[in-house]
Amino acid sequence: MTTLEAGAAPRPIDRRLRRAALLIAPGLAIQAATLASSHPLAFIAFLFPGGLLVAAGIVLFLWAIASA
Amino acid sequence: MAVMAIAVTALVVLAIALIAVVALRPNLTAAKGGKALAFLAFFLLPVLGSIFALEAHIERSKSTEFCLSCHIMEPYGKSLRIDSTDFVPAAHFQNRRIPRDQACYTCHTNYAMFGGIKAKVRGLRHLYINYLGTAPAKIELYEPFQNRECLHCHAGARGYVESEGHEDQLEDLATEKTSCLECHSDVHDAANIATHAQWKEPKP
Repeated sequence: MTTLEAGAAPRPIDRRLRRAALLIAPGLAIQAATLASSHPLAFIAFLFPGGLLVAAGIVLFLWAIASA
Repeated sequence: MAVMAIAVTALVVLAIALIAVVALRPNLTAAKGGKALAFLAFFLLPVLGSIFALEAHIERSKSTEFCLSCHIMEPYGKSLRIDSTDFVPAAHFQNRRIPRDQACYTCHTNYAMFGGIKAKVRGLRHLYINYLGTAPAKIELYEPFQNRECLHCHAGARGYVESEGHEDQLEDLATEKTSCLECHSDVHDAANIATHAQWKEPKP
């Protein structure tokens, strides 16, 4: 069983999770914000950068758990 | 539509909150429950949120407002309000033969298999051309307008089958031997749109 102590060095997976979070959360926020408009530019913003950020974050997350 | 947007927003807010929890307390992932939480926050919810948001955007891309938001389509939008029902799009739009909020899509999608997908792919190409490319001087259909698109609604309708001029042409029209546009040739007339009076819809 893993014992977690305060001040212990962060595991590599922790850093990758944080990086994935920094990609997915803004990506999702952008995707949600684009739903406020029916303009074609909103759709483009949904795909790039919204979709791109989410996709990159998910890939990073999957890589993090696969390599843990 | 609004319900979908609210649902997606709620999903996104939940995902972001869970992502924040896991990102701030990554030690949680050492336990089994934490791993499940991370999978939910970093994979399941973002994938679901993105799919639902994409679905909402695709539905919106069928709207007349969406098509007419590109400047180049302005004359085509005006043609829906030409003050003469001799013009096919105006007659359909003004008499509510097509849903007004999906006027362009209803007639210009392809009612064959994968027609909807083709329309979406073409729509993406139109976006690219509108914002990054050069629009052609004259807008033309990719292929001649098919009777199939008209007959999607009109086939079998009494007003179509029994009307004078259609009765002895039904087979030719069904097999595309004769185009509907041979007789109903007044369509958008975008090049001369300024010369046509506009229909003023009476306020209820």
